[in-house]
Amino acid sequence: MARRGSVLGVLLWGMVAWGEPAGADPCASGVARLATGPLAVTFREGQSGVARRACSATELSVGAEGWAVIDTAHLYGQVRGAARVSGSYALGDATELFGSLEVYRYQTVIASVSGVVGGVGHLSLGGTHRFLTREGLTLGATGRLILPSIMGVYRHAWPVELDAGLTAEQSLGANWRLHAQAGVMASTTISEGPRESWLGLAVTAGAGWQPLPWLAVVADLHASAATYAPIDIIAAGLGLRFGGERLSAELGAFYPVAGRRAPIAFSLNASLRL
Amino acid sequence: MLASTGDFLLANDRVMAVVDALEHPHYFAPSGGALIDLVTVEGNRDSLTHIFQATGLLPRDAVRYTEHQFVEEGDIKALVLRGHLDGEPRHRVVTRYEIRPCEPGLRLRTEIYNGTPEPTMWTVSDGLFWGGRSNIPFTPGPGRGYTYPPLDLANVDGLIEETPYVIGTIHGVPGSAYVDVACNLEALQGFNGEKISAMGTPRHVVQPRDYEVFERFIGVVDGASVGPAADLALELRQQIHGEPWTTLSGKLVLAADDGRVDDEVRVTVFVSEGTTQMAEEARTPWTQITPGPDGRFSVRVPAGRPYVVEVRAFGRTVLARDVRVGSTPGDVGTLEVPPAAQLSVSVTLDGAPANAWVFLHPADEQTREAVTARMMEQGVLCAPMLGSQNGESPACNRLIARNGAFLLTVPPGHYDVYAAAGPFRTIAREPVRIQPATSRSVSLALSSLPLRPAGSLAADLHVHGAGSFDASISPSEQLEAILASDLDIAIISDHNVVQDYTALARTRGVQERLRLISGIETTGLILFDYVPGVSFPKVIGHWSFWSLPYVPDAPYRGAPWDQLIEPGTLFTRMYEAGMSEHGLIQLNHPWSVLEVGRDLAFSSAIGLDATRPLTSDYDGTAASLFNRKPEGSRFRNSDYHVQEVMSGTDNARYQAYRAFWFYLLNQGVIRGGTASSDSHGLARNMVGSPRSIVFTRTTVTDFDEEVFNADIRAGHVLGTNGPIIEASLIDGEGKTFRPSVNPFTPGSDARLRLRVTAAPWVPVEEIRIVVDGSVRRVLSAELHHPADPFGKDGLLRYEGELRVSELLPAAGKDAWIVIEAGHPLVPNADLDCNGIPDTGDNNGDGVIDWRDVDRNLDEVIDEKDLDTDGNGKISSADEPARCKTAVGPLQDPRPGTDRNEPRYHFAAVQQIAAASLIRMASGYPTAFTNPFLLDLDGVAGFRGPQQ
Repeated sequence: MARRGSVLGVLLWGMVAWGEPAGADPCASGVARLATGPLAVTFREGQSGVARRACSATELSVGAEGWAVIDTAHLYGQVRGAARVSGSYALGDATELFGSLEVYRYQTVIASVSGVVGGVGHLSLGGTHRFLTREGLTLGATGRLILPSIMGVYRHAWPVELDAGLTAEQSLGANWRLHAQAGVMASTTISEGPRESWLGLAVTAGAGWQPLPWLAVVADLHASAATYAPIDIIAAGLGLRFGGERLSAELGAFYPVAGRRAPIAFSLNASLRL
Repeated sequence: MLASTGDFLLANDRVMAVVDALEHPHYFAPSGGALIDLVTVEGNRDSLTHIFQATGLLPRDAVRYTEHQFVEEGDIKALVLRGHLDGEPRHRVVTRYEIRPCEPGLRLRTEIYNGTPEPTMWTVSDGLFWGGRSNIPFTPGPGRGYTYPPLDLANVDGLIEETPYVIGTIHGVPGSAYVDVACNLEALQGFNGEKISAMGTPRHVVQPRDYEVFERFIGVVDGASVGPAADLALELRQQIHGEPWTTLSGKLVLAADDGRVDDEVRVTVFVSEGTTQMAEEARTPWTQITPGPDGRFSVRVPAGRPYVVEVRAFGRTVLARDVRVGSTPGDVGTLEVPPAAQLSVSVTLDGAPANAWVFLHPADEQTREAVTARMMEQGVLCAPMLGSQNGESPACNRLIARNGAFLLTVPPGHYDVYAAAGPFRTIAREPVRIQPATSRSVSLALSSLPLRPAGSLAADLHVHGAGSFDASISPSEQLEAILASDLDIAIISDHNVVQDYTALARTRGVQERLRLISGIETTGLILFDYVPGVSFPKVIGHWSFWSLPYVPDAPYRGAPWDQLIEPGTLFTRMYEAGMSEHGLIQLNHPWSVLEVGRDLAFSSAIGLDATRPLTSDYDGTAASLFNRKPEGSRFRNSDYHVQEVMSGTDNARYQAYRAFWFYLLNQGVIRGGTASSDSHGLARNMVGSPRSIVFTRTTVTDFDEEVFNADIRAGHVLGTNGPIIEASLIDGEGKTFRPSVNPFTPGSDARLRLRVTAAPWVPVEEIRIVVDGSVRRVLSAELHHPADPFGKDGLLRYEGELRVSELLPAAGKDAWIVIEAGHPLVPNADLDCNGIPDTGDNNGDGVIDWRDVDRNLDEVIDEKDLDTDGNGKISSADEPARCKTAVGPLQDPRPGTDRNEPRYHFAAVQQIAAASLIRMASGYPTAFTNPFLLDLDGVAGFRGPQQ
């Protein structure tokens, strides 16, 4: 745990050290806006552990996401697809409320016998509050609650999850940004059966580069740990963002580099800034 | 009955159930905790094989229990087992077996929890391991009943159906009927097969930390009919789901005094939802009942529906009547069953009554058409169908006439009645025309023939009885068959369990003329990853061991658990379990296909390539497993003593087994060859055909098993289903050598002396001299043929000598010689290029190629087999690359269809299954000697020609 904390410290220190001149707010309008924040790609239930941007905005998003696990050696496969609606509301420059609903999830598991499941997925609600902005860096606290709203996918147990952490963004000149989030995740279930709860860590760090006014490239590294295994997943992600100030789209994908049966995940989101 | 000391017994005033101890796993289960015995207190007739829990098809999907707990709540007693799926400890499982007073079975509840972060796919099921040739499952459903699609493990998803209940019943032997009804589900879901069914919850994707629950009632009633079990199932469904039932009754009367109305073969009643106007496959069979002695029957059926009451006699529908049942009981009235006939058969041997095989074959096409049927839709076609092919006499179209007499009820017709009693006796035939409501008597006289080689014992080294999961024939009936087949020795080789027939032989008074040795056939059922480079797990096939101590109260009756280990370890365990150091290890049917995804043979499981040299040590390749010595084992996997070269009465895979044996001989791996029936009943491989003639100095009356086994190990064995080959090699110095696994160096002017004899009904059309795996000489014109197949003359078919030097391919090199006699071998090709023939000219176009392969295993070569890319068209794109094709089946000689041909008679008394002598699997006359190993290279010891 201490080691993970050190890594986070170094990361945040690095962002401060390499930051913009004093006084610049990386969330200010027009500063490499498309390169803002980590990729919104989901690895687990209800966007738990998905890093959240620090900068607040009022926007509405629709998107599709998918992930796949292919383990031919053990005759196991899993493919999941979902349609998602998300929204956020900026309460001033420093605070944002956000929510996200998996409108429909389709999931198939391929084993010695195979099957599919579909239904309304998780609803998550959360908020971010920036409490520090200086020298091109902004640092905020973020939290998200995943409600037991899923229907038709779980049969006897419903997970309730909470994640909380620190999120940071650092602008590096006109085209580059760094971002990072580190936090904890907590999960339990509402069930008449065994109620297993867990605490885990999630860390995401990455960079965004906006070479053109309408195009940005984002690269992320995500790791989560201690929920089911010492290392649940380490995945590298790459995304493209297109658009302008109001309308934008993000196409992102993560490929696992460590973790048992870690998924390949992708998402495609279109956002309208209000 | 598999119960042993340490198992769990659950009993009330009506039933007794045994759950195996956690350290006594059986069959597919990786641990104990499965239901292995279930009987009524009154009937006490256990015919259950095994009911275990699983969530899918793979070994990792089976439940491994690790803890048990007894719970007592007033009158309710329960055994609670905790464990996990075998492949994932975080998939936790709890099963509760609960028994309550007055209930005819057990309540079961299984909970499975997904403790992993991954969703998983489960159908929480009872794995109902019927075994095959044992219980037959019955499920209500359109076109179902006893009918279900063939089990295809590659397409199980397509086989899963919904059913209100499943019932397993055994026919042809006394037994029980078992019923499985879901309690927390509207219906069970799963698939049915002759060997195994899986019934449980619908397939669900189970998310992390979610769980599944399956509650059901498993009941037992006495008897073979579905009816009482279906009555129980409908009562349960009324109580659980509120589905009303009512009774439907009636009475059957026989039109003549020609049999018992309570005999399920003579007459039985099927009740199906629907009307006679509907196609049969559209009707839903709900139940089946055999009337009581007074002809009355009464069954429960769902209320308020139309039904067809169908009466079957000898497996064929003889009348059907529509009846609508409301909410009150219905009555179909009195139904008259058309008359049959009585046939009294008596057989004498040398003038005295004796045990004999008796076969009925239709003597004209009209009769064949009229009497061909299956028992309860399953198993083989029989003509006539006189009883379950898996049961006791009569079974299918044959019977054992105990002490020469049998009275049976038969459908009217024109038949040939054959009697036989092994290859050293004549056969007899009597054509009879049997009119309805008449009685006929047939007397058949057999004579002993002077064919038995001096100093030999006739042995069947591979015989099953009801102790095997895939056989129903009782030990006493199998003993009668052994006596009828004129055997001296039989190795009782039940699957995974030791059985002891000696007390039975004493009771029968035959202990001085017959030796019944307790052995085992270990049978790989739990797949595991031991073959490198193969993505799908395997088992190690089947192995026989004898003799083994029989321990009546021990699990597997004294044998060790035989799963998840390589052969070398298995051999070690057998010796540790008490097998004599002089015992024998036999590789059974050494090159085989899969059965329910399980390899039947080690050699083919590891993918040996008989075109390549055998590696002497394990080098990490699959093929080198053959010689590997598993860690902790005393033996290499190849350290067995003998292998079957002929196995099974149908002789269907002889060419493959022989090719594998020849390959090993060429590689210098010298193992004796044997012949065994692998009999599982009267109609599934006839005990004693083929057999091993063991040349030995021990005798039945003064039997010395050590000497007997030593002679088998030494290859002093002739394998045969009829022809007798007496072969010796005589050199110029007057020394005589006989076939053996011990090499020798003959003197100059060595000659091969051959004498081939056979009963007149055994056609011997050629003698083949095989040298180093190639046929060097065929004798056919020189052979004599008897004039009368039913006579006693013409036994000697050939006697002569051949110069050995003219047979050998090269002077000064070691060589081996095997003699074969019988029917010419039909051409078969090796399409997958592994050196073992696998496919015949099955489409009859004169060429053996990929077009001859029965890819969908429906026993027909048609366009469906040729559309390999599945695009609905047959084109050059369908042709597989050379050596990359699926293979099989091998082609065998077809028996004659002329009732006066010698081949017809041979087939008539060897037939194991099928309605037609054209389609039947009947074997073909074959005998083989063990090798003469000629050490000619001047270096001590034998070196295989390809070594």
